[in-house]
Amino acid sequence: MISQHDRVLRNPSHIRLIWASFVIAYLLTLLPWSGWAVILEPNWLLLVLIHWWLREPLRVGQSAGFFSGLMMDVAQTGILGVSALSFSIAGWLTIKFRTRMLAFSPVAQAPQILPILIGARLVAVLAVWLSSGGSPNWWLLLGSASDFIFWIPITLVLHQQDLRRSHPSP
Amino acid sequence: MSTREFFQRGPSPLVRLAFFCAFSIALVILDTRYHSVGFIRAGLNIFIYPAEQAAHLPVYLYEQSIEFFTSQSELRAHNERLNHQLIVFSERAAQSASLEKDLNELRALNDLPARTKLPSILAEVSHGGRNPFTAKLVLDRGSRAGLIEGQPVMDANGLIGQVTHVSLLSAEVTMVTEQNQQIPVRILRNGLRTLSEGDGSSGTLSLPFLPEGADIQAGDQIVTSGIDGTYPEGLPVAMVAHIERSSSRVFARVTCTPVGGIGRGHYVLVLNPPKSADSAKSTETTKSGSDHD
Repeated sequence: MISQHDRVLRNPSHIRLIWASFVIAYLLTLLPWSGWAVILEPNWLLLVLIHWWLREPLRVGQSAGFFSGLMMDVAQTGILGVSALSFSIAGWLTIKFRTRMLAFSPVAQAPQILPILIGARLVAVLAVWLSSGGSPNWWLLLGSASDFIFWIPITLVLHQQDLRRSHPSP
Repeated sequence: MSTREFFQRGPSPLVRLAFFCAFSIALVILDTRYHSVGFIRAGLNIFIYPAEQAAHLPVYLYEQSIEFFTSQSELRAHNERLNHQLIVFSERAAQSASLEKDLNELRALNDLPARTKLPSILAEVSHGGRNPFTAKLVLDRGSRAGLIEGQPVMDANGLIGQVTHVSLLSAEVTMVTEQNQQIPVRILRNGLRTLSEGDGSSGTLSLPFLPEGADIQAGDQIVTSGIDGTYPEGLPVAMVAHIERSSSRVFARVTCTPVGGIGRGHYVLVLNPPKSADSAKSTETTKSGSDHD
């Protein structure tokens, strides 16, 4: 029996799927969110990044996290470097615990990914607070709940697509 | 995947983390303290612009279809309201033209330079700035339409903010309610000058430097004082909503609500700061894009 870990190494996903998932996540980020939706909007790019950090660490590395963060900062008209910092830290944490997490099913992975999702938002809140003053906006941590909810469908869909491409039906 | 590729790992994840963290923190400091990363933002914005347009397309189509199905009676009511406003405003425009003539004659008698009208650019709000941390708007005009950093932006009701970043096809406006955004203002009723400061996420402004005994009441109109040469004089900024006085403090705590349509409204006017307007020859309001493209 081959473990999930071996399967990941033997069946590298198509580059096209990886790129498509990033483009879709970025387009979702660019939708004109406003009001409470801004706070509750899932961190689409981070969810896709975490999926690929777990499945394709050789193709999607820490630099992908940094550059996606930069693109996110520009798209959100925020302070340049805040999302880049939070994504870099999330990337390191995911890659560090990757082997352990891959032993679980995508649904069972969710509770282990939640601290990473909360940590990423916490880093962003603290970075904005320390760099521009005022009071930290703790409400933004609420967004981790929607990250958590969207994690399971996103990782399942990407994983299914991945398997379909690796084992095309005759 | 070849075995060689698998074992070629480069620096360890921790080293990479340290590198990216240092790079990110440097960017944060350069952006907030020295405002010197505008070129990175402008460069990336050129790539983001088409994606942004694509992402906004479904929302745009939805809005267009809603507009298309607006009922006849609603349109008639709207038209009637606009016609009514037109009559009121044309009367005011006539008055203002004669007052301006008088004022310029008086200024000439006193050897003061005549006031110039400010050329302005009409722009559309592309989105309300997706960032939950900041009060910003993004306009659909950029340096190609002649926008520059520092220009004041207003809507039909009053001042909204100031252009803070310009890229080729879009521009970011920092709104008056943004944390620490200061504007020199005066109280319309008595001419008392002070500074207003944005309160950040609450969407209000405060007047932090008014002494306890200052003559200010709820409902007072706050307008720009024009003292810094960035904002033209007399633009409505806010209305005083709440005053808290206490003998234990040196300054009164004054909260104001902005009059400009923060987060609402589709069209805004980008004005030229009075400084650059002095040298500008054109006095016409230019509809942007048409003459720059």
